[in-house]
Amino acid sequence: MIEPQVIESFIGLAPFIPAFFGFATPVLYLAARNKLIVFSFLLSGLTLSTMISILVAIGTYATENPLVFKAGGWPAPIGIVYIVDRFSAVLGLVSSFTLLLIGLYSVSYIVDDAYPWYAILLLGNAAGILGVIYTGDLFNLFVMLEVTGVSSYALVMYYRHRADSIVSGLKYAFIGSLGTTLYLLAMGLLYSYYGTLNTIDFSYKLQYITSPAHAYAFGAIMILALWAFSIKSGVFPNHFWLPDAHPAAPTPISALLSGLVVKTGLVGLYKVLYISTWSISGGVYGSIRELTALAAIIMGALSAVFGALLMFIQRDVKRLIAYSTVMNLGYLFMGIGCLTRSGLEATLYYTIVHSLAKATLFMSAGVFIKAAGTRDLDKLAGLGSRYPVAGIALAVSTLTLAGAPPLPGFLAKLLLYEALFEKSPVIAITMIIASAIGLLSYMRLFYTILLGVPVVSWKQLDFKCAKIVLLLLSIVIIVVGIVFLFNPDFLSKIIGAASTQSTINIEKYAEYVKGTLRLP
Amino acid sequence: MLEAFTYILIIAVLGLNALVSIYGIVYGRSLVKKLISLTILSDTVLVAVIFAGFYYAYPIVPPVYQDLAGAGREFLVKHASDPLPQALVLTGIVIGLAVNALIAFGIIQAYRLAKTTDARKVVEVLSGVEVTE
Repeated sequence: MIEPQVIESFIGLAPFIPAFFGFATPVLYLAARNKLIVFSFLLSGLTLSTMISILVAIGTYATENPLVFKAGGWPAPIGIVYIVDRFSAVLGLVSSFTLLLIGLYSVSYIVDDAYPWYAILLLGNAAGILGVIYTGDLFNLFVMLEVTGVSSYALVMYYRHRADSIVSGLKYAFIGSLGTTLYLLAMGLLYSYYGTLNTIDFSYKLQYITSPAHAYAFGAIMILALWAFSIKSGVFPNHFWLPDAHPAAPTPISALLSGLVVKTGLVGLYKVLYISTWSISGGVYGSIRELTALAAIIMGALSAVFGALLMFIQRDVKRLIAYSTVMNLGYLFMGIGCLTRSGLEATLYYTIVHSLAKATLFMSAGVFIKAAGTRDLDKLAGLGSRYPVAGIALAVSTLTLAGAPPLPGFLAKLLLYEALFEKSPVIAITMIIASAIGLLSYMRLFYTILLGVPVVSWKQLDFKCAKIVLLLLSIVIIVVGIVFLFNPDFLSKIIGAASTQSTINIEKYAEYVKGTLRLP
Repeated sequence: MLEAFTYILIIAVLGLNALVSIYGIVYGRSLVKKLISLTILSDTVLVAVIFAGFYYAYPIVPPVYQDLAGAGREFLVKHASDPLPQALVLTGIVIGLAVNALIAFGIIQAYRLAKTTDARKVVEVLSGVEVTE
């Protein structure tokens, strides 16, 4: 067994390795000028970061305490610290695994000349996502959000000869950088009023720094952070960029954006609402925290209902899936706003399931779109039987997102329903209504593509890598569903333990980090 | 008195700047003007962060710790600005440069494709485009 201290020193490499491979790609491209070499370099970078995230996940489950990495060995409130608890380790593992499969899918999907740019931006995005998930410093979170953001804007504009992707990318870039600028303002306020940017240090300072001026500052920080994260996650009322930006990108990038990049806002909210402010009990701070969580729940509920309704009227298959992302992020915001152990448990499991299923759904739809040369759902009818692997993947992912019992979506929705019902029955019923409306759209997608009568001619595709990826992802989804549904012990050992560590045992967690970092 | 007036003036100017630039980003018609509004907003926020670390006490010394014996430490703490907000601003400027360059490229490309930088007309031009992928 490897010592946790050894694993801690690997944490910093998780965001660093994709960034290093990204910067090395242009040199390799200039030397080789070969698509296969560039993509194998991309895949080796993503494989390395996946291996590190597996190691980190093993490390967090081997000890009771979170893993702490000090960048450059600097002490905590001044230096940047990476704090990996079980919640972030599981999310990091799922994210890097999905990124690896998206990279593999891209080998068969990206056929034009701009592939080195694609590889650089994908690796940059991987570095940003892993950084957001692992960081324990709220300013470093801003930097990593921007790294993720800049590469996402550029990836949405990847088809630079196509006007729709340029304009959607610009819309995304304007609204995204507005959000991160507001978050920077929140960080300025945080530092000037509390003198720290570290999550755990902030939580201890909240216990004894109290004054009316600080209450206003805390309120402003929470509002600005929630607004910025809701923009990043595409939650109502900041969802309007998402249905334009996600379909305009190449299909693997749509899978990346819908599956992983929108989760960065959710992870940021977790770090602000759970890790940074756990120490608050009552008082003005307590009511501000409760109100922020309530605002997240209300925004999430509205997002779920609007997403479900707008999803139903779409004809473009990629826009339909993008609206499904708006709906699902609404559920996740409702779950994270509960501020309870069950809420966090449901959020974590739902996030894993949604990341895998949404990536699979986008990538299987991408095969049909490439084959038929159109994104109109009615024209894609009946193609499922022509491409059996993609058809199976589409069936598995739509049924998962709709919540059919043996698949993981069922358990995720059940956990979320229970958590929301504890909070308030009204929210739980809103979730059920949105879910029922969403089911109609998923079934429409399922029946049209798999059981419809073909109306257009299709071309034969040589999508070897894509087939492997889709088959692998379908198997992973089915295995995850069966293992967690029929083995409750497994659920409580992995997902339950992670949420217990971040909610019930949070004091022990914070004391450990405080001791390790020798905070005042 | 004068100090309080200056503080309020700076905060008021920053607030006004932020409001105008957010209006420009949301309701501006020209994409170029939207980009200019975005740079104004990010500069406003950066000035606000610098202002957060500013500490007025004459004589002002640079925030460089020289006296290791300890006699100069108290003087430094009383008379130097906090360097950390400046480090944050430096990071913010570098990131802002990347985002602004990317958006500027996007606007040029949009102009090449649609022959206009008016956000609404660009959308109109594009609405008839058949999407195949």
